[in-house]
Amino acid sequence: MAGGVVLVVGSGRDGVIRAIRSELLRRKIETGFVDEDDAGAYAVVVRRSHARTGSFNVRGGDCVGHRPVIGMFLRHTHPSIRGAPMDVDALARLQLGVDEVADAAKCPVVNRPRAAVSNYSKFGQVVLLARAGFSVPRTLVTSIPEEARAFLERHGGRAILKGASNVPTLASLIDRRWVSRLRLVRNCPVLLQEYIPGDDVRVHVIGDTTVATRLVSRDEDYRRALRRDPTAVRVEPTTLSASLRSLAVRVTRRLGLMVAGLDFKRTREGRLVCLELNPYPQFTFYERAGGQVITRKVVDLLLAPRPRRSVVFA
Amino acid sequence: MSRTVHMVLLIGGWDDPLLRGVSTCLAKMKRPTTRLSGPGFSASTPFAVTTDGRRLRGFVRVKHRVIDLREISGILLTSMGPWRPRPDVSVGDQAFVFHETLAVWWGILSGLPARVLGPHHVSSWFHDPNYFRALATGLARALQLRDATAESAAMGTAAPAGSREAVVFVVGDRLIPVGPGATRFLSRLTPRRPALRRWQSTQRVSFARLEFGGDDGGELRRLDLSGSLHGVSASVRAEVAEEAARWLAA
Repeated sequence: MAGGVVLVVGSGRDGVIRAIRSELLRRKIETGFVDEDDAGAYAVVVRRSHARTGSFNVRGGDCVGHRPVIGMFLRHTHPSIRGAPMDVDALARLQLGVDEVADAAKCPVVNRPRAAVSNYSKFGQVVLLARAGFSVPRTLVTSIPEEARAFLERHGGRAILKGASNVPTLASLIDRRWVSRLRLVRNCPVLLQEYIPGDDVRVHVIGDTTVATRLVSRDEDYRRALRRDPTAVRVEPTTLSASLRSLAVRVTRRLGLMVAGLDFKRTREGRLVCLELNPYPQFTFYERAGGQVITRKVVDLLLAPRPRRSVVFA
Repeated sequence: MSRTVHMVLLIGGWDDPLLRGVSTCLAKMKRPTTRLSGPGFSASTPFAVTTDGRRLRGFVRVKHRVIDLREISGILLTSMGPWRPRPDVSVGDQAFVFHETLAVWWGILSGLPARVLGPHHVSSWFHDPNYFRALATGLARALQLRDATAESAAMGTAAPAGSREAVVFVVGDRLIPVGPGATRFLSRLTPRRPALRRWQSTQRVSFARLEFGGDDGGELRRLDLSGSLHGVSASVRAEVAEEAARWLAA
């Protein structure tokens, strides 16, 4: 494409990053790729000018620092998911620089880290989603063992235990056999939710559109089931009511995100209960397994509309 | 059961002059307060909070006293300083406990229908330098100033007010000038008050210490959300604390 490049930032081993790059290549869109696996090879140069935001030059790899950036796709890697030794300081420096670029960029950015902060606190996010209009599970956070036990009893001796922060964890269904282990919540608070039996539904919001996928698994966290057996989860397209589609799009936009992955449980009565919102969804799995189009729609978003004036060059 | 206690939670160390000053003022106003001592308050204060999403119910336990969340009408957050979980577990586990604990507490405090004075954006809790960078850039733009905060962190100990700097405290809707150049600067700031209010409202900043400088007074040099009272006179400390207490008690 004449006149600009799409900047892609993340790990070259990440399936989502690979899918986006490959779609851009298929469309013959010029790209600049910042490979976080080789963080030390890149630099973000900031030129500030008074009260203005300034401009940014991204250099390293195929980023030459002077082509205007017309779209940014960002999905940071994390030291804990690296398979090999790495320069953690270089990665932190690079990510900090890239985040500042994403904050200041006037082009479409999927997604701006500033808009993704609701992910820092799952408890805060439950409140946010409920106040936006979603149905959410009853939730407890506590550092008192007796309160955790009482919550378990109030919900028939079963509850979902999940991480409260953005540190990746898997949800677990706990029951009365866990009672003695709940004494450990004195050392680290827990987030417990009422257990809602039913299928999972992942809804990807891409701009104004949604893609809904149903997941049928015997494990309360289908990701755990997939780790054991890639065929253990049935994945298929599903539909949403117009009001829920509209709500999902509105909430995503209100947070300043262009793309999001919302997780729901569908109750036996057919009600959708919202569990959380992922600002950096791993959508390629759902696309592949559910036979749905997501990557192409994300790239469509990156390419329109054009920025009036670029402040980022790569 | 009615819960109209209107308690103000004071979060931070007793060595923080703002916290001490606010505490004294609230006592004079006969407003009940409870202090959660920082920086480890998050790990040392037992709590249980439930939600159906729309409202929070629960309590915190402070020195064997149970405080119902419905009693809390105001929260003062001062600089919490560095906190690390117990050191007898692995570094990875410490990092996990750190994130989980702060994430839960931020979720609780931000979900309460209470006035919060101090840094309460989730990014500030996790010391995200880009948050402070973007905040300063936005403020400089709103006030039509040069952003000279550059790499200086927005949190921490502020420099003493020198002869060439103007220090202005923002407490709710009130501006409190400090130092020789501040009054002159305030008149320059007056036409930009609506822009400042918009910035405060958008960024949910109710309290800040701003430092301005440059030969023409047109530089934003520092933005400190924890409102350090370092380097200012006792009378200014008292005025800032009194205004903060009044805002929290409103």
